[in-house]
Amino acid sequence: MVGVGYGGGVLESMVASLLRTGFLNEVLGLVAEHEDSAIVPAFIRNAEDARKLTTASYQPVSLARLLSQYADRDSRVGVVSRSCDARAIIELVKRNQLDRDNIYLIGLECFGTASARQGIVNNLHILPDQIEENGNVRAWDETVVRRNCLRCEYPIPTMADVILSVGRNDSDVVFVTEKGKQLLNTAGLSSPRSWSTRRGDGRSPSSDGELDVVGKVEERVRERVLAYQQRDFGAFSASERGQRVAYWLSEFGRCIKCYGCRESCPLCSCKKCILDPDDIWVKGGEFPPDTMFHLIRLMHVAPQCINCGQCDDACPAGIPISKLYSLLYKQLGDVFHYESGIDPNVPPPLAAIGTEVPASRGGDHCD
Amino acid sequence: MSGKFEPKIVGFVCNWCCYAGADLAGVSRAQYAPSIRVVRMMCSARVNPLYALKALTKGADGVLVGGCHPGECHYLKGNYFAERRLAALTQLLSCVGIEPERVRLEWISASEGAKFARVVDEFTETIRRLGPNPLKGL
Repeated sequence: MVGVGYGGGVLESMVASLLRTGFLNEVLGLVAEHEDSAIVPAFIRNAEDARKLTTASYQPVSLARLLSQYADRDSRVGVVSRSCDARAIIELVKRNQLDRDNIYLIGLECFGTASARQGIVNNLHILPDQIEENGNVRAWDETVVRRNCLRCEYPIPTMADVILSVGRNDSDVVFVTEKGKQLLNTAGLSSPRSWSTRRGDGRSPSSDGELDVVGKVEERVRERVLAYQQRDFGAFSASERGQRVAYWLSEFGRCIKCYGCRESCPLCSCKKCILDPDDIWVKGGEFPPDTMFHLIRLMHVAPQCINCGQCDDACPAGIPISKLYSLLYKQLGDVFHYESGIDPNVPPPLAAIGTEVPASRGGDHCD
Repeated sequence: MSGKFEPKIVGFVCNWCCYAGADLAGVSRAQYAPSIRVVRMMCSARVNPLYALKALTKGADGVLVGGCHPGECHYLKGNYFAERRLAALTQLLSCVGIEPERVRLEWISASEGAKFARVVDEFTETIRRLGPNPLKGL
């Protein structure tokens, strides 16, 4: 791995074994050639390249999107995935864009990722209570973390097949599913532990006790996240409706219709997109685009938005896209009780035509 | 022309129940607010929430969607689908800052001409109280 620790060592040896034995044909992950190289996504096919995988707190692109665009559906592929990628992959599986059987999700714990605007991030690791960079430890700092990560309720990817812990002295990987157990056995771990035992026994996974007891970590992160959501969405909901419309219209007014949001979104996988120019809804050569451009994406994506924040990062105009989408996603959660990207057997909310009546049909949910 | 605000309402109504009900209201010479512009759809399920949004962004003050009563859809389950989609639309409207009361879903059968007239009257009053569409002039 590039750099020492933070789950990198375990990841490297696991991936190298799995490729060497041929159990996996390829592994998709974020790599850096050297310690100072840019971190980029790559499909790794040779065991020797496993050392390039990095667990630095940086997510420049949605791996789920790359998987759906480039992977061969017949090949067995491992994906080093944070919760955002794992959830996106599960959503794509529901839409028959990916085959869950051939995908092995190597989950990576994540307590936040930094934006590229932070500069060199190769040695930056965001942990539950502190930030470690180039060996220096400093307090957890909200300004370093991407906005969507501050809202994220899934630091530990329990929807993956295995979970890698990312404390400084990496030592732990556990399995969640039977596939995960098989993965760990093949990778050479003789008696792998399951996620439930790690969670249940309450023992600190790393030897020098840096990473707190798992349940307490989850609880602390969740408290922090809910408090942030309150701040982020709360001030928003309390505003006058008229102000809210004016706010969003002024944000959308900066749009140059670069389609960055659509291109970076893992859920936007339609072969023929409703937003293609000179079709019915969007006129070519006109910008800022008609408000419908944003409302269409909102209507199509928000019910299952996984809050990966790639749209925010992609937008050259700095429109807080994921904020609007996550806000709507939360509100829709109360109506449809749908949790995006968790259970591949639960259909997306608007694809399920049942006879049950949704909880609320009218009224303003915000105030 | 008085200064009173006259709402413009677009009505997406299903061919089998609601449109027939609206027709019955007409044939019965029912008097009701002339605010609605009716668009006939084969089923309420055919009403993409984007149509309601387009109407609102282009200046309609309200959107009425009319379908068959639950269990009576000509295509069996279309009205349930419509209900789900419009429930999602309601939340989207409140998120963006448009009053969700501007979009209303009603079940009106072919024999309920009087109900159609009453609903249009009530909805027109609701929209009159809400005022003109906030997207106009922004």
